[in-house]
Amino acid sequence: MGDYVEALGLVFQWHVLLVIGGGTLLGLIMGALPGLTAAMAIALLLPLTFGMPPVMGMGMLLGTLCGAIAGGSVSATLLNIPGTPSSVATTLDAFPMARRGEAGRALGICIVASFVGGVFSAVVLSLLAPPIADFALRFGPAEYFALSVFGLVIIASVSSKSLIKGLVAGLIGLLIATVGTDPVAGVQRYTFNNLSLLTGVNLLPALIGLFAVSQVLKDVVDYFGGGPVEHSKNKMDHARPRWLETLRYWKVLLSSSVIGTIVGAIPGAGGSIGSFLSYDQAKKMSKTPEKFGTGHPEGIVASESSNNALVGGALIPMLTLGIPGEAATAVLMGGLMIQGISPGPTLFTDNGSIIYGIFIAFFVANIFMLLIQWFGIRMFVKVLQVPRKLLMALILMFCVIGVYAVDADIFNVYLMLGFGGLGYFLNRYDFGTAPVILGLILGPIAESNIRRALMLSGGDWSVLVTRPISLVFLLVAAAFLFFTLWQNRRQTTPHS
Amino acid sequence: MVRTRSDALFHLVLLALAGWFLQEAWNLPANAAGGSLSPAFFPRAISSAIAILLLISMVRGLVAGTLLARDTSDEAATSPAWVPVLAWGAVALLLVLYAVLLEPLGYVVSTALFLFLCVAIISVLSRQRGDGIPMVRVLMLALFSAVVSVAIFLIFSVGFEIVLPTIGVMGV
Repeated sequence: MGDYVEALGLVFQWHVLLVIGGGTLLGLIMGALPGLTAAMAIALLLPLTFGMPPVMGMGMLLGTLCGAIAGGSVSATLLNIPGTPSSVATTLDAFPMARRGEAGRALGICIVASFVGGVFSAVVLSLLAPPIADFALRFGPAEYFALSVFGLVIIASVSSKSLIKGLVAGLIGLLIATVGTDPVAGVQRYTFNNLSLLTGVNLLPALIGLFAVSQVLKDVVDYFGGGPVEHSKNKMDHARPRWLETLRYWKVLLSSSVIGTIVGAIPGAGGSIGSFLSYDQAKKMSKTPEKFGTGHPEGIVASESSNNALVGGALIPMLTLGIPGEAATAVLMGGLMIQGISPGPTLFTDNGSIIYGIFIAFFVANIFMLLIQWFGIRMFVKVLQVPRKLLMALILMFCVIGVYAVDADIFNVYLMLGFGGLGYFLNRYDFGTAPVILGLILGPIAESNIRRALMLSGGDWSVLVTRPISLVFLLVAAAFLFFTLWQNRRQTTPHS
Repeated sequence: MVRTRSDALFHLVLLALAGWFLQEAWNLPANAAGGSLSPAFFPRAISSAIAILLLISMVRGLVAGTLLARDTSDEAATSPAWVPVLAWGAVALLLVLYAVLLEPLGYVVSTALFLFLCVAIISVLSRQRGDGIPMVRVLMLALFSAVVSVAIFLIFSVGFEIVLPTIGVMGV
């Protein structure tokens, strides 16, 4: 209780609230722009959090994440292009409604549904995270190694179209994580006498390169291949929250928020899966399923409440176990680590006020998301009119300056460009970039823990399977691996 | 599984890199203390695993007959195939030049040049054949680039107190 009171004091200061609101606003703007993902938005804002206290910095990044997910509904509604992958299901009903000249109504429903989903998941996060972290306190080195393997296998399996390519991407991240001074023996590995590499590859250039630079490089190519964009009739005179109309579908709101939170909490499940599952469930529950896909409010409520509920769900494994479920939370976790805080169960015992401050900041970010959309939705519609070529140039400029500004080391800028090029080709050939960043984050955890576990057991590898929790993680990882292999084989085998 | 010939080429590049990392890992000390793993264990194991998985992916592509298949993803593009490649190469080169010139030219000059050239290159490559580029637009872009770079410089250096490279002329 004392931690919560202290946390309230950390969040409810005018400058902290201002920063959370600013992050939410920027997230909404970036989310509204097709091609800018939530992960990219967080990566771009990471450098600004360096000088901030942890709760303030994380509050800003959480606001960005909430805003980016909610902002994705703007282009989904007006252009039939989901601003973020989790808004794909929103296009099914929001765009037909907007095409009828009811864009304001569709966005009004999106605003309320996003808010309800976000707040629901924030409540679940606050209630469930502490007991999970309490359980995870029993973990020793063997369990942490098994947990790292589990996280990496799951994200490698789901982030790429091919299991082998996903695993290669994860291993690339692990290999890059070995650069620097060895954590146990102090030996230098792959440093080439470069002082900037002595402490390993800096996470920030990697994050910005893999998620922002690579995305803009892809956008440059797409810029020349895109067809004409179909605009809806932007009747925006009634773009205000539709409370009564949305709350009338309270069953859909509740079920979609539950589904979104659960799917978000499963590492690797991802945004579009959650919103499609909720959409499908709402259709089954509806008295008028035939209206789905024609501009029906229930469809919008299902998708939008679910994709914002995913955020709180995804924070549960990230904060309690240190396992980010997808790209945006991986970047968020990177942001926390850059602040010198390692997510995991000890965060709850060692930094109670910070973790509860993060929970409260997440609530606050959802409230800002509602207020900013309520009064500023017309501005986000204007954002869609900014020429893409200007945006691409500006984002690249912010990438370079953001990385340089952190410690005025030009080497980090070169590193970022290298990661940008690598990320572009990894995405182009379906390897994915999320496993790389997870490998980079989990690599040191996995290596130091397995070495410690073997030191304690006198070199006996059976320690990984004789401890029940470690065994469970490894078995689930193996089961997931075989299931994905079987699924891939089924998809590639003709006549199946 | 390898799907196209350019995918196969990327596999080969990654394979070469994995081989290089593996070769470098052999120079690391292989002695471990107290029954634990040596500093060389992880680099060797990971680079070997990458190489093996890439080889499996290539063999599967060979068996499925996709190893040397042509890229079809760009066929639906509205511009000739070389245009996006040229634009990509030009933007990537500009980024490298921006990084190289950031400290010698200072933030304001290098950023203004980068913004101007980046937007100009994309505009020139994306214009329809026969379309001219009005001088007013060029001047507007130059003004935009200059104003943005100065504004961002002031926001970062005054607002956030972040040190950006300068050439010492009038504080920029």
